[in-house]
Amino acid sequence: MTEPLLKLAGLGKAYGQVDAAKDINLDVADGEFVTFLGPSGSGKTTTLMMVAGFTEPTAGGISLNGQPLDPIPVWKRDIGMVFQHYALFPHMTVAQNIAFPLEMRGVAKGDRRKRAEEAMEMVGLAGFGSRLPKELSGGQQQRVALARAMVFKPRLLLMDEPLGALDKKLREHMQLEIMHLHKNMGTTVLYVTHDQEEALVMSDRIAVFSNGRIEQVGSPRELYEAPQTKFVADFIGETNFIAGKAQGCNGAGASVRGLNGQLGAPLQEGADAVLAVRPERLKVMNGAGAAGGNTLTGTVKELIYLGQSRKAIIALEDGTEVAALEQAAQAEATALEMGSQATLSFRAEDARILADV
Amino acid sequence: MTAGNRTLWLLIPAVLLIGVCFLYPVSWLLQRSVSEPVWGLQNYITIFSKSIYLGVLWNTIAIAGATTILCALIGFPVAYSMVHARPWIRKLLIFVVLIPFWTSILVRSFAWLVILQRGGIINDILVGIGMIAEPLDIVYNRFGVLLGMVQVLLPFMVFPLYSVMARIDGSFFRAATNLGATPIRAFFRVYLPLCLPGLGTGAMLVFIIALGYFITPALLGGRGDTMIAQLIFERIDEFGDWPLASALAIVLLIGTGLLFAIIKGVSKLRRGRI
Ligand SMILES: Nc1ncnc2c1ncn2[C@@H]1O[C@H](COP(=O)(O)OP(=O)(O)O)[C@@H](O)[C@H]1O
Ligand SMILES: [Mg+2]
Repeated sequence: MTEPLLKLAGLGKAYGQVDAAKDINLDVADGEFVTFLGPSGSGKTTTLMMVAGFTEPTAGGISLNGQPLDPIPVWKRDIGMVFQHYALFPHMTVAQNIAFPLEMRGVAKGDRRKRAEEAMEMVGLAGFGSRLPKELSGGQQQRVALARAMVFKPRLLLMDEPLGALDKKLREHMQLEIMHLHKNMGTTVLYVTHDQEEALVMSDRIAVFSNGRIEQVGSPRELYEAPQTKFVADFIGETNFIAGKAQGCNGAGASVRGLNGQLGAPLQEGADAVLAVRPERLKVMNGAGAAGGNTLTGTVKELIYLGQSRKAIIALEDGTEVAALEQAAQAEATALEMGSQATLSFRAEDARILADV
Repeated sequence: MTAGNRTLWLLIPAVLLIGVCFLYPVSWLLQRSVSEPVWGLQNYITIFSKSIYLGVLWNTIAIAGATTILCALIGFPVAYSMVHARPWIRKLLIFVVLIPFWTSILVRSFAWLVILQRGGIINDILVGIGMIAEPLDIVYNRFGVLLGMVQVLLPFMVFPLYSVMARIDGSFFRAATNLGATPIRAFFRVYLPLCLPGLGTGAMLVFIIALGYFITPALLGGRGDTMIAQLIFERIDEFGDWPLASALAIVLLIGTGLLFAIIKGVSKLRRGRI
């Protein structure tokens, strides 16, 4: 395994009694796109600010290329950053903004202009150089911020909810653009968002934050298919939880209320647990089918038409509501009716048994 | 425009006030300055050709300019602290900066006199602890004038600066350092330019008010620190020379107006990006 570009080791930041970030461990490889995903207040910004150098850690350390970053001041770290509200200098033109990091590095004027122009071209803003930031739309300002943060070829690019201020359509467009830039430039990116869809679309790997800690790190697929904690299963995508006691824990599998699933993480026999299964992994049958392995029976409570798919909410006997998603053609074949009985079944490998905290 | 026309009557009191209290006296002064002793510009020619008058004009500009610069140098850190201090310290600072407005300017100038004169508190202490053998001349000179004027005019610098600084987002400075600027370069290249509107407004207020200052230079200044307002008073009070005094007043008015126009023009140019 090659040396990681960025290494966060036991990183923590306490404000008095409050741990804004605690015991953050993460290795980021050169060229990787890693996203911090988590609800508001979960410590994503704090962690990013420690990497940028704006916030001093109270525990642990950060190293870049094997060198500890802690003694290096912000302006010498060579880490680009796109701020949440862009922080474009309002008294400078677009070209001056983009050339600013080059100016600070003593790049000669002619060279500066050339590289700024290349950067503007890269983000599709050729010809906008003499405008002021306030004369640009939100998406254009976003691009200027991106160009400014990349023009000096930083070792690492940080972005804190860079698309938060844009409308949905533009946001999706910019997601693709940022991904393309990342691929073309090969820059390593640390990206912060609270939008799980955005994280799934853009990232090589995602670190899920909760209460100042990293809950799980993995590829989008790993996090979605094999969550290790209830929080992760709940935060990413939609999940059904069936609560009970963990039984028959045997290393790889376990069961809850007689339903079998994979173990997400080691679990004590008899501990409070949930079985987590995604709506699209449930097979739906009309009527009360034979009770058997991994089946659930209940009453159809709601049918939600979603165009290409149809969601059914089924209430089990104990009142637990379970959502099942079927593709349109399949849904027509199943032909559920409101208030009638339905049976759901799933494979043990599609379900996760997780500690219920 | 209709909405504007319908509310125009709201301006009547202001128009009356300006007409009666400003335009009328000013045109009266203007007329006297060009019609006595005979019609012509003789009073203005006197002002711009005699060295005592030119000296006073220069004094006025120099004292107002120095006051403005000192107010900027002292006011900038004060405004900055006010923006970044905890709420109770901010309140305290605002209170301290506003104190000068609560006492009469005459009382304050006399107070400075008591403190600064040869037999005053400062000299007594300095001589008492043996730091100096002879009392220092720290009043009845330029130093005394500037001290008094800066104290009075500081709020006019601090508050415009404060209101501009309070609206500058911290992320600009952070972005600058992140992009490779040392804190000093980030200050001069990003923070200071963003403060310029406040600095400009403050400087204009201080300079223009200082141009017409009277009591402070009269009480705390020496013979060489006479300002134009004092000269006007002297011409009328001692010599009853209304025509020349009127011409001086018009010079002050036109000078101030010119300055105002120049500053406006410059800031417009800046906004239009040269
Ligand atoms: N300067 C600070 N002083 C005190 N608490 C802070 C400070 N900055 C952040 N926090 C706290 O740390 C926690 C994490 O904040 P943050 O990293 O901004 O979360 P996120 O970016 O995930 O929304 C929050 O509870 C927040 O209130
Ligand atoms: Mg945040």
